[in-house]
Amino acid sequence: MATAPYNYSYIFKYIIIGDMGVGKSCLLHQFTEKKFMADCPHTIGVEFGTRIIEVSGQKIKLQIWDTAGQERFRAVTRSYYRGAAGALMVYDITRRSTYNHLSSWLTDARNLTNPNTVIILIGNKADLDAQRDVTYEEAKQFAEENGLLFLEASAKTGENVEDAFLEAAKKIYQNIQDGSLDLNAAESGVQHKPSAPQGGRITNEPQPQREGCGC
Amino acid sequence: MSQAEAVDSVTAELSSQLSLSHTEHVATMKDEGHHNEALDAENVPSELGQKESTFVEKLDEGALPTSSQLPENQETECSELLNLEVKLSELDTGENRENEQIQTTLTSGKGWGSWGKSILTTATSTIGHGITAVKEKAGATLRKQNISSLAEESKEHEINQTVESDDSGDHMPKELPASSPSAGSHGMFSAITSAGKSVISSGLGALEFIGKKTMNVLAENDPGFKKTKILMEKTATLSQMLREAKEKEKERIANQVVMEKTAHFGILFDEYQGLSHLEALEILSNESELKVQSFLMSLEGETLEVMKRDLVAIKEIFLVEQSEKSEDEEKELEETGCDGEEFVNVLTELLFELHVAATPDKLNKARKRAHDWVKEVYSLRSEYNEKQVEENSDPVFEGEKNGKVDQNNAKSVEDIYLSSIESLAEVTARSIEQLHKVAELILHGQDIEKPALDQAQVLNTLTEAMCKEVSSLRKKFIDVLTSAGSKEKAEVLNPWINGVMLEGSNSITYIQDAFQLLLPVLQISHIQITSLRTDTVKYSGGN
Repeated sequence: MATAPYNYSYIFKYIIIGDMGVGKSCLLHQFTEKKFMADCPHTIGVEFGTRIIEVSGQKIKLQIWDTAGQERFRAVTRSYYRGAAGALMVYDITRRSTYNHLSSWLTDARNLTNPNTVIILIGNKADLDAQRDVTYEEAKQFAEENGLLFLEASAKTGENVEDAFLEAAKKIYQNIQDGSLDLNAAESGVQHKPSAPQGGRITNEPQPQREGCGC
Repeated sequence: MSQAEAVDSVTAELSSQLSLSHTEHVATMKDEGHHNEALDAENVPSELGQKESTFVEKLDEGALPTSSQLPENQETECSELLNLEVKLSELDTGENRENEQIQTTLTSGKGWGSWGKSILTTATSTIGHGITAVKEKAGATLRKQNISSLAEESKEHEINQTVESDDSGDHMPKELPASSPSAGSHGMFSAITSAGKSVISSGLGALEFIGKKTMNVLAENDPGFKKTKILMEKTATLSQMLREAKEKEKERIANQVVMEKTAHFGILFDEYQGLSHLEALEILSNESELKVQSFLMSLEGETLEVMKRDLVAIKEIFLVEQSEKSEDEEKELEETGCDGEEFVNVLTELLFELHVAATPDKLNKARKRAHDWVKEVYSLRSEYNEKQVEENSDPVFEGEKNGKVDQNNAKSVEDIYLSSIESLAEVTARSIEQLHKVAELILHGQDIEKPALDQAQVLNTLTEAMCKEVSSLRKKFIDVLTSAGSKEKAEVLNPWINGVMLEGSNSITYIQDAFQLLLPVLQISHIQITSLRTDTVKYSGGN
């Protein structure tokens, strides 16, 4: 039956993007089910996951849109970026090509979400260090240059998976607190529950401060 | 715009839509059905013309200060309706300051991030409240036969409905019940309020009568109402409506001091990700609609005519579904039921026919679970009955024992009710997920060998199969409730049965609404295939 707790103050929309096979769905599964899904089928279009987390004593429901990585779905999945409060941009540390494609994913994420969308770069499959093809340092540098959060994680062992989702949420919450994320903006990707001021109008003022965050 | 005018137009729109939606259900109203079909046929050709002129009309309407604040609504199929909505919200903000959400309707877009389109939502949830209130009051007096007579009475209550809608203009603003959080001043809602007024002023007899009628009206017409909205306005509304209805439900639960077991369709539907899939499907539908519109604007002359004809042909398939299903047919199917693997086969076959690689695993599992627990309840009950016969115990103790065994062994009647609602929510969510997947696969531009027209046909059949399945599940649930609850008091049992009835019809409506969202998807797919073909022709011609 309905067991989920009903009390949360915010809903954040997340998207997970990145090349096919980097482990987007596995990250989500690990995050929501705390299990590793060994045989993960290709995602068609988009799949969903939800989990309630806590940031600074506030319960936040994450509504996660796990997009298909296959190129043929790119046109469809682009439609889903809008209104995301957070984006997890995933590559596979053992496959350099997935890292090289990041700029294209980043362009999409920047163009299709609002300027306040928090983007976190995730180097997945960190458990396969022996087959590493992308160093931590270069990815870290790429993240800093582009103002992204960054973590290496493993959907298999669960390492840093929780943190990946949490770090982004913290950053979003911080943006709300310091006022840089306008909740009334239609595409903030955040819904605030208890009688939030609803009279706001669409504000399209860009708020470009996106400090890189050392994690 | 005066309020009265706004209300009148809402009422008129609503009534016409309500009568339209009736044709789905009312077999006895063949004459009326034909009438509506004729209307449809007339409307179809003008539809596209209307779309074309949308932009022009929008400019004309610049006089309305608010219309300029809705720059994103370019895809509005019918700008009048937009207009209408604006008027409505003007009404609301004027009438009821408490309803802050209304303003978002004007200012925020249709994205996920907004709580927008509150009118719809609040109206829906208000209806929800209305239903609950009416149900609670009248449920006690309602007998089981009322349910079975729902169908025959639909004609009557339509008249009822019309009458109520007619005078809604006068009553509406004052009669918002204090408990209602919103001023969803739609005809639908006023129907409830005016009914509510009569309830108070009349005696108990009237209470029973109106309660019953209102129930019928709501159960039957709420779907129509929603359909109206979704057809009118292709912005992301249904999922938001549901989402907010769910939020309200949640708040209500949170406020309940005594934690009792409750079944909340909306919350369960969301937990099965039904809302998310619906929302995503709406996004695809809206974007496709925009693309179709802009493509049509780029055409002219004969090409435009040809394309329009094609698109209208696709649209007609989507309209057929609305009018041709009769109650008789539904009943027949309920009786034959798809108990075995038939539904699975039908589903798989249809998906195969669509040439999309979407397997119905999740949906199949959901429906199997539903059928399984019903079977289990029956087998447990028959075991229990056998024991009863064997023991043939002292009649004085029988009652006591009865209670005990019911609690320990078999599912309690309430559990059956809760499982019913959960199963309906799950199957509905999975059906919508399935339709969403199909939309994604059609849109992602694989080599489609099947023309959009044929795909529309198959999808129509697919949707029908899903609705029939829900319908047959609903019947099963009610049967098992009735048999398990034969010893319960009517005032305990009836609200449960009514709840299953209502959520069953809602489920069907959601699925049908989701199907309607596929229309622009198929249209853009058709355009893409056609232009591809033309390009190929040109290309080979060039060679």
